[in-house]
Amino acid sequence: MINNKTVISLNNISKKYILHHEKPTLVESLFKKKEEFWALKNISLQLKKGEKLGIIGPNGAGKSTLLKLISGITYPTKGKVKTKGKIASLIDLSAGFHPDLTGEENIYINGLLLGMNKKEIKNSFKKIIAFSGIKKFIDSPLNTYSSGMVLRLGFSIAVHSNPDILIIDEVISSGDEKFRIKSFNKIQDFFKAKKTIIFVSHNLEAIKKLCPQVLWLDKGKTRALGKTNKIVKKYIKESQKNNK
Amino acid sequence: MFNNHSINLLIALTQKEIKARYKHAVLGFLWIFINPLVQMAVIGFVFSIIFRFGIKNYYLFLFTGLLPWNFFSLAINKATPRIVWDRNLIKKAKFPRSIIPLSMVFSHFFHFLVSYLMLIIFLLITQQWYFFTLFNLGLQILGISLLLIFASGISLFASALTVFYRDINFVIQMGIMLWFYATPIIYPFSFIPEKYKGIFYLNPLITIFSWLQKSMVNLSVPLWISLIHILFILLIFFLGFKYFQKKEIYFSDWL
Repeated sequence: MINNKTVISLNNISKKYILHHEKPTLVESLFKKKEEFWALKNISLQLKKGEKLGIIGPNGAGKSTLLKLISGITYPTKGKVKTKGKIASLIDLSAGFHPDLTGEENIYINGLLLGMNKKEIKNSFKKIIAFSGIKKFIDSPLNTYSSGMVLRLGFSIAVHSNPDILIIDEVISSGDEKFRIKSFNKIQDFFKAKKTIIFVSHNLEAIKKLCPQVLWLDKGKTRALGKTNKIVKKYIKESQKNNK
Repeated sequence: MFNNHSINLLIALTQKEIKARYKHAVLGFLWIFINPLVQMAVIGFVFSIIFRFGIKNYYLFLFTGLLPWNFFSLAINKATPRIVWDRNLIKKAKFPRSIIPLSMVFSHFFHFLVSYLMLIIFLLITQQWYFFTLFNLGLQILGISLLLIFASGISLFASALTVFYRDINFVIQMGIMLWFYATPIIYPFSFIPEKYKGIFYLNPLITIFSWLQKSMVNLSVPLWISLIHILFILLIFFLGFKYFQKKEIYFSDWL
């Protein structure tokens, strides 16, 4: 039984992808045999409001797919994903911008995409600009920005969208040193603010520091789910064994 | 399905589309007016000399049909590949995906309204009062609304299909081109030999364009055929929406 404090509930979900070796065409999709690939198999997970979960696992374990499922960008082939509240995902920060529009105009559209309403955008407009540190360029079109500036703007909008659930995918490593520290501090604020957070990282020290529980994914399956210290230790041990 | 927030997003994306189009042009938004003006002048001039089909106000006949057609064809042509192009919006967040093709349709509808307004001003200046009867204005509103619904329905269908079958984009481009000649826009329906008229009634646009051009040439589509056309257009819209909703959850896997 899911109690009313549960904000994320994955019930035995699986995700199948069909492999495209080239772009799909009508003829191909009619006559060619489809190659299937299960990115995730039978994952179950419950998170209550305010809980923090770290996700670890080697490349190709299905971590990103899981994040996409939780943020509602894609849907499971089997099983059900239920979430409660506004989700902000720090997955693809430079996505959703229009190169011909100014930073200002893009903040507005991006904010709406992330589920903010007009008033919320207006209220946090100055904060978003100040945090991103691109005040001088805010009325220039986005195609004049460097990729670092775009990332900073994307990050700034996402963290100011006042999410209930925050999904973070290795984002801390974007931008220069100064912004890296700033964004890491911001994320730590979220951890302190009792937000529900899912945090994917290869930085095991950060995971140990920030997340009391952890999910270990391997080849689309749950290897372990529980107390961080124990699982991380096992994970390190196995990674070292595989390297020998 | 479409809450307040989705509507705001739809408006914002439509505005974005209109703004982005003229952003870096020196004359900026003036192009919204210059474009249809020049088009009307040049095409109108050329066609008035070459064709006419014995229509008194051929020039006006042409534009009461051509402007709505331009909207219809542009909206569908631009909306069809849009989901594929806007994959970065889809990978960004969860929102009703139908906003993407619909914002394309609406931005082109906005451009159409501007050019249509200019046609109306021209009709006023040249005192073509027969256009401004209550009956004719009613037909115009009805016809344009129906055209908007039809364009939206086809765009929803085609843009969703294009995600899975990229060929659809080319099929649509070709289809729209053929459709133009199959619809009485540059020629009056009376020009079609009697024995072929039955085939033309298969085209639901006949009803819409017969209304839009009623004040210029009298083309009467039998009422029961018009009713079938209207039902068909509404059905396409409904099915287009349903199909889109059913398929939109798979979009991000194919992009």
